[in-house]
Amino acid sequence: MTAIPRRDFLCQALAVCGSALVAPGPLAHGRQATASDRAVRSSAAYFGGRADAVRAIGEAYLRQLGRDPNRESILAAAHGALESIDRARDERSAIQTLVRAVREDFEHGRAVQLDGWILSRTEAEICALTLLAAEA
Amino acid sequence: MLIDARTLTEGTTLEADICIAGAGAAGMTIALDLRGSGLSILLLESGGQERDEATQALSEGRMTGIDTWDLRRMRIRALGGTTGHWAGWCRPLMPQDFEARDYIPGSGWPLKYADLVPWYRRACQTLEIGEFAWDADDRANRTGRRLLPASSNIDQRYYQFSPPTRFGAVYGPVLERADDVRVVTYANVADVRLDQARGRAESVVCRTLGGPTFHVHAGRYVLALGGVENARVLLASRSQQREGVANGHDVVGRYFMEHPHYYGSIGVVHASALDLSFYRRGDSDLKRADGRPVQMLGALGLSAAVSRRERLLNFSATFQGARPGYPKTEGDALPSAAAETLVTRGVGGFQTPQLTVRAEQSPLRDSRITLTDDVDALGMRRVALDWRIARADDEQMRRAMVILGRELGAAGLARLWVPGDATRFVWRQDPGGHHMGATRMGRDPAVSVVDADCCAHEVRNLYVAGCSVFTTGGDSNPTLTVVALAHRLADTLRRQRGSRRSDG
Repeated sequence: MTAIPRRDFLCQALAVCGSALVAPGPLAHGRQATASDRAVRSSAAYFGGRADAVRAIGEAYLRQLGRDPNRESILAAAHGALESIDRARDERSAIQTLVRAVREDFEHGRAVQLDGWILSRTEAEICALTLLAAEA
Repeated sequence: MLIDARTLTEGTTLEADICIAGAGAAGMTIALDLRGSGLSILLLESGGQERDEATQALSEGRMTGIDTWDLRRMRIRALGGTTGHWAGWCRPLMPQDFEARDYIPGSGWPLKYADLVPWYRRACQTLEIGEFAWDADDRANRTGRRLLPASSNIDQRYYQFSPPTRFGAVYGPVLERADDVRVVTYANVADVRLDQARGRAESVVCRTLGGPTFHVHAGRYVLALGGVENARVLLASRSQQREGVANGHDVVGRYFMEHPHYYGSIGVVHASALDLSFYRRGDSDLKRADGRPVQMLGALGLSAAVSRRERLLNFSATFQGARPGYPKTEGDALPSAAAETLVTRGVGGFQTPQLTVRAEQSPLRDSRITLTDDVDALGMRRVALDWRIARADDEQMRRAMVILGRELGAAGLARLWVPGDATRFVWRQDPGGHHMGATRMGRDPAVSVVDADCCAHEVRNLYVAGCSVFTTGGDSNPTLTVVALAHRLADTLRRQRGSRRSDG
């Protein structure tokens, strides 16, 4: 998968805004943010504002998923974690929820190996969704 | 008493109750223990007090499988044997290493861990380490260091370090002074001769470089020549049987094992949140007999329960300091910065210790030592070493590292990077220089050479000492177990004095 200019823009925005992954309000093309979008947005702080890391993990995961990875299938896979994150009352709770989800991933064998790195599947999915959000 | 075999008259016959061939860690330990037993001991050593090139050249052999360390350099032919350049790493095998595991064909010693503990305790003294204590929690408490707060799926372990004990320097003079031990240097066992019924060893033929050939007659014989040479001598003893000695089932030389060392893996850990001091080599609270502290080094493995459930070989991972050239970015689709982010989440720094993984391997019948048509300066056929590792071992190790990575991730401690991907494993792999299994121990003579007493199934007054008797190798460095088995064999020889096994 090749990076697109919009994705670069997204990552730069993440780098500048820290925890604000996607600007509040409507998303690209005027689509209203869904619960999943909000959850992905809340997760930005988990990645320490490192847009390059989010992009790298997201791209590596999408590449591993193979041809035609789509947002819906990843959303479906990450549904449980995203729902819990979206229910969190603030960003801090959202991060704690994500930390818990990551731990549970590792505990239950839901790990992915991306270019040799052993990561939680939820981490990889959120990064992938962050990238795909830019294309929505 | 010390005798230089080159000064003997051609055709001399030396007599003893027990003839021990090889004055390394195993042979010297047995000789030391048999002092004062009422038995006369002859300890034969291929070299002299110091190593010399001509004698070392007798070990030269060919590698036809995975390359391992140069045989000529790896084993030392001099008093003290390979302890002359041993690095001193000590850790016992673990209880599960002795068990038969259905997913490791050929596993299962005829001994249990508990059977060996009394001799492990003695081995600790012989190797000048601390007490036989291997509880990492206790050690961490006593040293004021912290274990990584991982789940019980992770087994925390540690090594103790011998000074290291150079047996030639430390125990050579003790044996020279002993009335009942004759140490014969420059004596190379070339042939083990059997009695008419082929069930007992009658004599050994010894050769010297540029000197006489002589014979030894003893009641019992112990081969303690090293992991390769034990098999070589048995295979080369063909004066009476084409297949060699103790080899009626074509097992001698087979099931050769090493400890594959896997390099290249790194962990990314949070610099300020984690104390890795337990996993750095340093002084412990343990004391040697002279009161000096014993050094230790912590390591990580998987619990026996996880290993059994996941059907994995044993391994230990140690942290070896920062990886040079890290972070790596060039050519990597997923830069290391990504993993650092997941560990630090933007707060604080990180460390990137390298992991060295010392692993067990499955015993393979076709991983073996054979004889070539080349001969050494004594006319003895040289070895070809065809070291092999089962493909399944690589897959097991890949899964083991993924599980370790998951455990470290679950504990919030680290993200692990292992070379390769979900289907391949591309470690840089080195041998450990541990030559195990080629005269393996077992109950069934069809798949083993010696019994639980280290006595050859087919030759009832011939014993083998050293890590060639290991049924499986675990992941621990073998010297502590070699010395423990040697103490145990010495007790067996002492106890069997006058029994049907003994002529002595």
